[in-house]
Amino acid sequence: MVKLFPLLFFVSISFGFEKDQEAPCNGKKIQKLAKQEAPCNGKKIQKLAKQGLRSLRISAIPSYLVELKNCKDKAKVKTIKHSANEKQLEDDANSAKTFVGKTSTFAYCVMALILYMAFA
Amino acid sequence: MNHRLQSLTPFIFWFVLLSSSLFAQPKLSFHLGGGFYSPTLGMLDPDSNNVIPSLSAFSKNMLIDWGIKYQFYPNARIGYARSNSYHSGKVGDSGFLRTISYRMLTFETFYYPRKRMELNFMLAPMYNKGTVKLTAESSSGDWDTLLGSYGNSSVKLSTPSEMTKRWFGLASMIGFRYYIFSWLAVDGKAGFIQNSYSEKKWEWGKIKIDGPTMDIKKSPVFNIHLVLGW
Repeated sequence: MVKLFPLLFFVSISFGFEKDQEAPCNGKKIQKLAKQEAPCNGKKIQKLAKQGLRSLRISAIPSYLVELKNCKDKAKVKTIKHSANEKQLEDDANSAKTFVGKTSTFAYCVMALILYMAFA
Repeated sequence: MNHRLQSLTPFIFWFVLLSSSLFAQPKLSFHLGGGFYSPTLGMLDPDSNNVIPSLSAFSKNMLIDWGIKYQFYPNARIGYARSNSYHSGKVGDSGFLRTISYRMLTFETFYYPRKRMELNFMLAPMYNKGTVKLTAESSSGDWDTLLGSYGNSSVKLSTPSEMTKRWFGLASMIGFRYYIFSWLAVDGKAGFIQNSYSEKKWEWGKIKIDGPTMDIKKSPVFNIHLVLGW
């Protein structure tokens, strides 16, 4: 029995360590926080952050809105919305920044017609 | 079999249109707003025709606009837009409603001089429609007799009738759009609408008649729209 004592002591310490190591990672507060943050990093939100607002199909918008609603961190929701909007505005501005070829010819035709109408 | 296919065609069309909108990534935008123009509504205003009910500035100069546009190229959109002008009142005991619909097939190119700011140029062939409608309330002796035989007292019947006219036109406009968000913008446009209107050959039922002598051959127009788009 006395010989088993060190063994029992070792086992209890090793289990104790295991509990002490895991406790901070799986604590109730951390689990609650992780639960709150998970919807804030949902697939739709991540896609939007990378590719802008219009990267989502119209059919995918409701699930994006649900992800936003489930994200309890209101400041983060605001940031997500703002960054997605800014990213889309930048993309739109870049894609239609140059005005050459047929589209510019069309614009010149419209301007010429309006000038003709104004002064004729 | 052929009849069945014909009846299914509209259903297939709307299904394809709706499903492609939902599952593809269309760059669709809708606009709603108003416009201002100053036509000469000869014989459609009380100054030139004492039969016509009084005309407010809203009925004479204001347009109610709506439309839908599809961006098919980074710099270009195509769409359908309508600008409507309404005038209602009473002629004798009858309700009077005059509608002029400027219906446009719009082609628009645009570019962004700066972020959030867009300059756009629009040409739109138009197929317009004018309607004058009178809704007269009259009692019909024959109906009175028939309905009276079932125990009904005198019944007022409503007999709607209208005269219509269609004509071609062309709209050319330059606009400035400011994006509040990437999905919401305010758009202002200025330009001209040209109309090939003639007072001849209005249709009243199947009869051709003369209509009002409106002077809308060349009209400057100013529009302001709220644009919602994805």
